[in-house]
Amino acid sequence: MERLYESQKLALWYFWTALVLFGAQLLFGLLSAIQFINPDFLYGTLNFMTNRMLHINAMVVWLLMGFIAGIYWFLPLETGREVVGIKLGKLAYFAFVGAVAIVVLVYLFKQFGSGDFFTLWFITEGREYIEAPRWADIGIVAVALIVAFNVIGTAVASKRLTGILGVLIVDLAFLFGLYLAGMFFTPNISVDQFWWWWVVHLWVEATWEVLVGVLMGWLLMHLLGTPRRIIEAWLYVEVMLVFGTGILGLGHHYYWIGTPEYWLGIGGFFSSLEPLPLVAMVIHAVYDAGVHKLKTVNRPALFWAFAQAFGNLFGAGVWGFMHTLPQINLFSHGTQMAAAHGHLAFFGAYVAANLALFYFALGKTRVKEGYILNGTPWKIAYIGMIIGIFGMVAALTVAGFAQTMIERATLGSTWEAYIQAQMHPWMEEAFKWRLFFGIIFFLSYAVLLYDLLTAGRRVEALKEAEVVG
Amino acid sequence: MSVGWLEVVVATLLVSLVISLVLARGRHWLEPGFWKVAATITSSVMAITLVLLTFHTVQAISMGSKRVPRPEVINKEIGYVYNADRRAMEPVFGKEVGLFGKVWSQQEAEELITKGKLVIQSRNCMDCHSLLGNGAYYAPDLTKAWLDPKWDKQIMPMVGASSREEAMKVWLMNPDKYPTWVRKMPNLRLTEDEAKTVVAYLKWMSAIDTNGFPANFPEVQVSQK
Amino acid sequence: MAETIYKLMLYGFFMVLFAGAYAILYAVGRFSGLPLLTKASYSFALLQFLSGLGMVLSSYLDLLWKAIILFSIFAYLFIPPVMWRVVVEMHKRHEN
Repeated sequence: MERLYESQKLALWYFWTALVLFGAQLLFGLLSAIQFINPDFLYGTLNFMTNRMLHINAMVVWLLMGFIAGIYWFLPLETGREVVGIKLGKLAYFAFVGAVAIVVLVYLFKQFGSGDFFTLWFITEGREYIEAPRWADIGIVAVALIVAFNVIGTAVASKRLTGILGVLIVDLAFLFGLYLAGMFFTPNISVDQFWWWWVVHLWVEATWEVLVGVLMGWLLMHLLGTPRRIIEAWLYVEVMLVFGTGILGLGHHYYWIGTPEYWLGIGGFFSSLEPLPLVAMVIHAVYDAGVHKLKTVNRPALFWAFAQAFGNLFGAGVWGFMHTLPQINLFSHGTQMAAAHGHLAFFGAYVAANLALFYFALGKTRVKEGYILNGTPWKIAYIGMIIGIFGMVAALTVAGFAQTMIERATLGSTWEAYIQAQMHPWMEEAFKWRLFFGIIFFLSYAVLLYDLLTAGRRVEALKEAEVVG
Repeated sequence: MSVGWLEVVVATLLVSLVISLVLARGRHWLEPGFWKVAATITSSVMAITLVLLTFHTVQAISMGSKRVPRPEVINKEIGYVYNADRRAMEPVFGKEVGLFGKVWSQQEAEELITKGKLVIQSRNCMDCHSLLGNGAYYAPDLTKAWLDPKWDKQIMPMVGASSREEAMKVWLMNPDKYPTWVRKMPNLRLTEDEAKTVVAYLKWMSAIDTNGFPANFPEVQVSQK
Repeated sequence: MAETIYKLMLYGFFMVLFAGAYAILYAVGRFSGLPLLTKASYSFALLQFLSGLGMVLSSYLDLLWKAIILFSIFAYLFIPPVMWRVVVEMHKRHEN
């Protein structure tokens, strides 16, 4: 076991907090899934809108926390020194956690306010994914600035600005700068959604992808010993492909919000190219798997890293492309098809990446030199989560097809058309299957939690480790 | 200025490629340095293009533009018809009919719409419904909700109102009392004023040119001016 | 209408799914030195091409879009081998 930098201890705090919020995400997801089947469940007490808001907000926050953890874990390794503003970093952690707790309590017990600026500042902004009230937005920006300050400061202090750090710094500047685009009020909903997508799309389909590229690059360097020059060259290839297709791929969100018609072509074209970086990633993953024959001191970290490459291709690539052309999207936009795509893409691209990083950090803190991190529980969680997510996505895809065909293409997108489609067996049954696989996913999460808590500490795991070691 | 999408696509790709190759000449194509240039140039070209397009788009969707009408449009009759030339449905405007029994001045209409947007955000509509197709999928899309036939056919008789806007107002204040299906909208304690602003907002939103989304919607004609 | 959209969506789904399968199998085949797998991957390349062709043959899309899709399914036939070469060459150059 290596001696940890303070920064890495901070990373572990972030990881554990992220994991708790992951659980909250799943819990509120389950409640929402039940409400699809039995709308009276918690009706008037904890309405769908509140559960759904908590479901997606917990996700955004825990993924961000996982990324911050990844940065704090690898930053001292990359620069060979302690992070410069570590005290500030720890302070920011407590501020972040405190703010999240307050926001969640207000969401749960206040839920909504009257139509004025007080509500927007202190209860909710009511804009999907970035519902957090304005005061919390400012807090998030402050935390982000501290993270950015620590990255830049540490790089400067170590006089070692590597290519990976360069990409990270530029990406963080964009990532956090973009958040500002979501912090204003306008009565014009077209303008509102135009900037709202700058935050949501340019995070999820551009800056987050690159950030995960950086973190996975570091992971592979430390886990498999891949030479730095390969990691850097490949990272640049990925940046070129992700930004080259993803920035103007933003256009696929500008088809129907009032924006001019040229976005139909620009968005359709560039978003059709968005699977390219994902194919490239998968091919490289297969190469790495082949070279190392899946042998490593940290099995779960490696397997989750592979799940990331493949999951990203399926979730973002396959499920994204099928409804990205404007001619198709005119009918499928805003149906369960988007829910299917969203679930698989977030899991593949970001959940898997965070779990890989988490396992890697645990391996370093819990497993002695010469031993390996392995065992049975992580495999159960791994397989269970993959079955769970694909089951949910398959169900939602069937529902999405039905909704697109019935509500949109046949009955004409009215209120009554919506109800008719929702009552169709392809949708009603699908929602039951979604809940079933959601429960499987949740149980797998419980196994994952058990494994993370005990990995490297269990007698049987150590025994197995000794044999292999 | 009109922007052709194909020109934008070809130009961005070509410019990225040419500048990258010129700046990276002399570097081996397997070296990180080569790809660093390509990544920097491609990202910059795309980002700059996005910024330029943003200037154009924000202008094109400002209130009072051809695509996004002024708030006073709530005083007019609003329809939604198929335009064969565009091969898409588009909003059309008829004679002045007012809303809630009065014609709203420019300033009044603006205040109404602003308040309506605040109410919509404060009640978190987007986490059940979708607006312009974005949001959650637990409840119907509201893009053209003002034009939905259900208000006249079912809700007006149900709540005993004499006009569509009155019916919408009463329904929005008591959605739990007037269920239309097993999924009932919860009572979000809208005041009468708040409910009116939401109705105005929905009417205004239905006047936005959304490139034909939602498609296949039943046509709504307006009377001649 | 519903049927046209249904088919287009399905073709699009299969196109990228087979494209992914082609890339994965091709890479696995090349790595493990199993030419059989690489050959099998070509059948997915063909399926990818056919799925895309399904979109092209639909009367719903404009000529320009058909041309773009046709070009991309043709170009994609070469993408996995090219990407594989890039990865292999990169490792060769920097690992020694």
